[in-house]
Amino acid sequence: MAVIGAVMIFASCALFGVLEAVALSQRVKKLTLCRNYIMRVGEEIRHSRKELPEILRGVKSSVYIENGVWQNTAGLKDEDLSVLYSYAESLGTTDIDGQIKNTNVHIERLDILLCDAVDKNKKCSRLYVSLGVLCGAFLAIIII
Amino acid sequence: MEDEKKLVKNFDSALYALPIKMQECLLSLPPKIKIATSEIRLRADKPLILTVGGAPMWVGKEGVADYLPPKSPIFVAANEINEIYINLCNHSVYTHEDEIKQGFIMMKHAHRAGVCGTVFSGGVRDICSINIRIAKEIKGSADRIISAFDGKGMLIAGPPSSGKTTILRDAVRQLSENFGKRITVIDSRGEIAAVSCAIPENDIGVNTDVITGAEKADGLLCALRTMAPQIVAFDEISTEREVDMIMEGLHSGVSVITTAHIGEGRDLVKRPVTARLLKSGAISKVVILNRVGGNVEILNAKDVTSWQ
Repeated sequence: MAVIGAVMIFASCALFGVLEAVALSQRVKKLTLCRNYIMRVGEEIRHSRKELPEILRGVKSSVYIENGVWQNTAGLKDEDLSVLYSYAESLGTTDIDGQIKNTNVHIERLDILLCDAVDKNKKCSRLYVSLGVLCGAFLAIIII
Repeated sequence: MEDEKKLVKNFDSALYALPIKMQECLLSLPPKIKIATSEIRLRADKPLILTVGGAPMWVGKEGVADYLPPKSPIFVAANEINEIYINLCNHSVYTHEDEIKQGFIMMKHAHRAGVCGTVFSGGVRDICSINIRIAKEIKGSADRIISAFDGKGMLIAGPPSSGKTTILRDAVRQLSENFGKRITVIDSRGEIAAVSCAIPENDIGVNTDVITGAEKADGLLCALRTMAPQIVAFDEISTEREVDMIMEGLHSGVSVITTAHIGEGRDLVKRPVTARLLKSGAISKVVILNRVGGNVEILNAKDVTSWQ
């Protein structure tokens, strides 16, 4: 019984570590997608000058804006979401120069967050996995 | 009856940018009021006012309209004005940038919204007033003037809301369809043809080409060079350059039908642009409309030029 419990605790701790590591890489992936999406929308506004609903229908991405709301943003932090919301709110509300500046400002803000996310991912993803496994092993040994 | 239904539909189609509650109140107005309404005036922190038969009319929250203030009039909040402005632009202010700099937004279904606010180099901000002008397509409205058209130029003049654009649109349709004239319309504010996705929403005839969104003088030049029209039609002549382009057309065998804002008939010779146009010989007939849209006076341009 104790062995089964120990194995379960070990597995849970290891899984927790792995999930934390996945969340870190997921954030990097989502932020990159958002950045690319904003860039493509900005390019469409600048070059095609089509109306926003038409542009948003045309730019395909797994993270996207629908009816003024970002979709599929699970895995992003509050600070990331605040940048995305600010972008969605200001989208289409100004002249072309304003839209270009708006796109650039939000891309710069996302770049800073992305740098931070990549950094954390590099530093912490292995650490989280190792910590999860070690903690699990430690608790399992104590139980046994 | 069919015309009335269409006019009611016209009114309803001009409400799409308003907040839902405002739309509901206006949609519930009696058809008589909807038909007679030419403008919806929205001002920040002020009541919503309709222009009905040239006079201001209040609208109550319960969906009634009166020339006297009702118990609970619809008020337009400052944030609602901004919301309406963004909706009018279809959340794409940048696509209407050039129009906004000139103080208007082309709406769907040929309606037009005038906007007031703080002007800066990039456009207008802090929008405080919006005036939605309801387009009216009335087939047969040009019947009275079409027989007077002699193939040379025609100027339709009248005060605001006298029906100049409505008559111009129908004249274009009749000349194109019934008389087989090759016409190019310079629709700088999208009010005549209301082209949407390359198709005119208003009936302007089968033999009509449309240049939308261009400056009138530039559009005229483009039409003369590329479309080989017999007649060029555009709304509201206002600059000397447009007169120059009309004269270019005159000497290339192209006649013009245009409109002009005037207070009364004599303004035609007092306004420098219309005075010059009449003297140029490009106009043969002058149609003067009164404010209510009832009386139509058709005069020879030469007779008008002699007024001083």
